[in-house]
This record gives sequence, C-alpha cells and structure tokens, in this order.
Amino acid sequence: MEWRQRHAIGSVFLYVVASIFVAYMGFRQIVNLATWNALFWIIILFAAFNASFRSFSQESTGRKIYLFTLASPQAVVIAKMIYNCVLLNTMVFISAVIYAFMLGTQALESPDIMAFSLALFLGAVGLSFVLTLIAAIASQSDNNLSLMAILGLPVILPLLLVLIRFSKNALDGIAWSVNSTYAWQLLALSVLSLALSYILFPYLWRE
Amino acid sequence: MTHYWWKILSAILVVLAVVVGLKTPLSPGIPSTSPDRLNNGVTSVKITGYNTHFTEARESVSIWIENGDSRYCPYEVNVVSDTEIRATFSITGQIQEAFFDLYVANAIDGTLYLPSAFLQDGLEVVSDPNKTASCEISPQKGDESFNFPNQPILNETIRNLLYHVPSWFAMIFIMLISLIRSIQYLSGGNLVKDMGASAAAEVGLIFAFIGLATGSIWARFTWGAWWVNDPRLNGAAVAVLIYLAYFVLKSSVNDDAKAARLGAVYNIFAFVMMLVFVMVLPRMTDSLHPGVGGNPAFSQYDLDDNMRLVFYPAVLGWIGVSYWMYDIRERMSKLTFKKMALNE
Repeated sequence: MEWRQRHAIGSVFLYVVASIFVAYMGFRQIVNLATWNALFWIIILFAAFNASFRSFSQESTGRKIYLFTLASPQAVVIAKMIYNCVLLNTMVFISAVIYAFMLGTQALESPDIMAFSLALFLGAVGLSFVLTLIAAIASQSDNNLSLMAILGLPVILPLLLVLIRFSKNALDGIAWSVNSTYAWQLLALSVLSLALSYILFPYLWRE
Repeated sequence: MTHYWWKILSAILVVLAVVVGLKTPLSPGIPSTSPDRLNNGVTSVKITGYNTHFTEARESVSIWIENGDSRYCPYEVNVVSDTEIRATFSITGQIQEAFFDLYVANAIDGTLYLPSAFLQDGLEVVSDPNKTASCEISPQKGDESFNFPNQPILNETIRNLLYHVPSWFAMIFIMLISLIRSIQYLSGGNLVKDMGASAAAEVGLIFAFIGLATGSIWARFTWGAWWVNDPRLNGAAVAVLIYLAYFVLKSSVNDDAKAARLGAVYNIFAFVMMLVFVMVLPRMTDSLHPGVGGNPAFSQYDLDDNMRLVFYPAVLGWIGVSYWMYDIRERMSKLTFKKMALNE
C-alpha cells in the first residue's frame, strides 16, 4: 500500500472517521477524562491494526519478488516502518482533531497540549514499529486478519498501557518532570521493537 | 543411571517440598484480637492465638502493649483455653500514637508480637504526652522447633510460597529454553530445533497455568479477590496470551518449514516484549505484588531460615522437573518426525 493505492489510504481514514462518528452516536459528549482518553486510543489501536495490516498483505507476489531482488530485507523493513510511521502520525493527529471536535473537550480542564502531542507522536511511532513486524508475520499465514489481532494484541499491550497512562497524565496537565519517565519508556519500547524487527525480518523475507 | 541422577533428584526434591511444605506447622502467633479498639478507661479484650499453648504455659503468660515510649500491662489476665486469653487494660489520658502493639509471652511459645493490634478510641493523641507509663515485662524464649513463620494476613497461606513462586521460576526457565531453540533454528538449525521450541513453550504454558491458579488462590485469601487489577498479574495474563497466540500461529500455517520460521520469529519478538511487561514495567509502577513497585520481595523481610531451607530445594526441584517434562516432550516430537519421514 503506497501512493499507488490511494483508495487504501482513504479507506483507513474513513475507518477512523466512521469509528469516531459511531463513538459520537453512542456517547454524544464525554465528560470523564479517563473514558475520553481510553476510547481515543482504542479507536487509534484498531485503525493502526487496519493500516499496518495492509502494508504486506496487499503486495502482489510479483512485486515481492521484485523488491526481493532489488533491495536488502533490512532496507525493505525500515522503509515499511518509516512509511507506516508517517501514515500513522498523520492519521493520529487528524483523528485527534476530529475526535475533540465531535466528542467535546469538556473533559479536558488543563491539558498539556505539548505533552499530549508528544504522546500522539510517540504512540504512532511505537504502534507502527511493533505492528509492522506482526503484519509481516501475519501476512504469510493463511487467515491473516484474525491472526494479526491474535498475535498483535498481547504484544502491543505493554506499549498501549504506558501510552494510555502517559496521555492521560498529559491531558490532566501533570508536570512534565513527573510524566517524562513514560515518554522515555515509550521511546525505549519503540527502539527495542525497531532493533528486533531489523534483526528478525530477513528470516521472514527469504522464501 | 548416571544420566538420570538429576531427574531422580528433582523428583525427590519436589515430593519433599510438597510434603514438608504441607506438614510443617506454623509457628505460634496472634492472628487477631477482639475488640480491636482500646477505650479511654477500662477495656476488656479477647486475644486469639494460633498454634499457641496458653493453658500449658499458664504460669508464665505475660502480656503487655506498647505505644510510643509507653508500655502498659493489663491488671487482669484470664487464660481461657490454649488459643484464647482475656485481658483487661486500663488506659487514660494522653498517648503518643494512635495504634498499640501487642506482645504476648509464655515459656513454650516465646514472645509473640502483633503490630498495630489495637486502635485508640477516645484517647488524646499528642506527639509529646505529659506522662509515660511503664511496667515490668518478662520476654521469653520459646521452644525451638522446625516451623514456618506466622505472618499477619498471610497466616497459613505462607506455604503457597513454595508452590507459586517456583512455578513461575520454572516457567521463565523453560521459556528461556524455547527462546534459545528458536534462535538456534533461525541461525541455520533444522526442524528438530523448532520442535524443541514448541515443546518448551507447551511445558512452559502448563507451569504458567499452575502459577496463575496458585496465585489466584493466594490473592483470594490475602487480598480478598480472585483477581485484582495489578501490573504483575496483567503481565502474567499477557504472557499466557502470547504463548497461546504462538500455538495458533503455528497451527494456522500448513507448510511445516514456514510455520517453524514464522513461529520462531514471533517467539523471539514476543519473549522480549513479555519480559518487558512482566519484569520491567511492574517495577516502575505501584503494585500489591511482593517484589514489585517498591514492595520488598519475600526474601528481604520475612523469608526466614526454615522457609529458605524448603524454598531453594523446591525451586531447584521444580526447574528440574520442568526440564524433564520438556525433555520427554521434545523426544516425543522427534520420534513423530522420524516416523513421518519413514512413512514418506
């Protein structure tokens, strides 16, 4: 899924907007900050699954062989990660704006916008890094979308828990000195998954 | 015979740990008092002992409570049974702390101690009281026998330490073997290595379930619920989910070599993530679980020498038995593999 498949990018965005709209129909306005934050990240999580799932499953066999002869597997996986990362970042920021617009901002009293933006950025980076490798594994099996969820959810949970706590603190306006440990944890998890993907991906690629 | 020694040893150790762990009595202790408040004036309280010998050591029973620098003795003590004493205290005026610590001594059980046994009720708590009380006490050294420590809240469930903790140690050990086999497979091993990885994951999952079950029972009787929302517990649940997902992945791919490759990659990735979740993250947040979030682990405060004497052999035994199980499982899959190769 790249620029050649604009409809695919469009479908991911539509998916997010539709989910937010469903949430809006269900909740109207959310006044509880914890709910506001958790619902946002759940929507993002499933959208991220959807987006990164396409990065391998929609490649035709012909193009895979073409890439295989052209580039090293490390280059391929890094490229896919960067692409997913950029895509998810755009998606996360746009959907944060739509989400706040639809579901109201009464829940947020003194949000630390800078810290929340950092949470969005690090969250998108972490999610895209972890899910790229999972998507690569899932795309090689037979029933891949359900397998992607089964494989991905337990692995993504540590990252998601740190992320939800970090962004909740940011929205609560808790001081940066307290909250920065979560940012470092997120960064460490992202770097860890980047390194592991770099090492492990070549074994998935050779066929 | 020389090859089997560790199997026999670990089997013996596990059986010994189970028998000794269940048979050893708890040391005498005071689980509760009623009422748990001391009024301004005269209060009569019932002190309940556990595994104590109050009637047998009736002559030597002495009781006192401490509060800050003050010490109070009851003016009336009545030994009702081996496990029950009624005592009457008279306390008035200013005291230093809100809680009283209780001491009960006798010649057989030694000096028993219950911290914060009573809460004050109607007394005046000041940091610098105008008087301190004192009275004669007689601490005793009891009969030494082999027993487990009697901790408040934990009580008899302290034995679970000998089953719950070693099962998680065994699980981590076996999952480590699974990881090593997966790495060996990816770096040019044959399918047998991957079979070892799955065999180890299967055995590890059994120990994870044992750990979850014993932990759940323990949580019920100490924290009051079968499951509590706690980083360490969630980590354990996720670890189980990860390995279940590993088996789903392996069974969903028809081509053996491909399934082995995908499984090995996922195994390595998932193990690292699991380690982060189970070992690293809980230490950074608050948790009820010992050894996490600033809570001291057992070994640091209440694992006494008798407990150690059973605990370390139990850990060795469980790890040995888990390796033995893995060994059998791996040999089984190797034989099935050979049989299939012969049939073709």
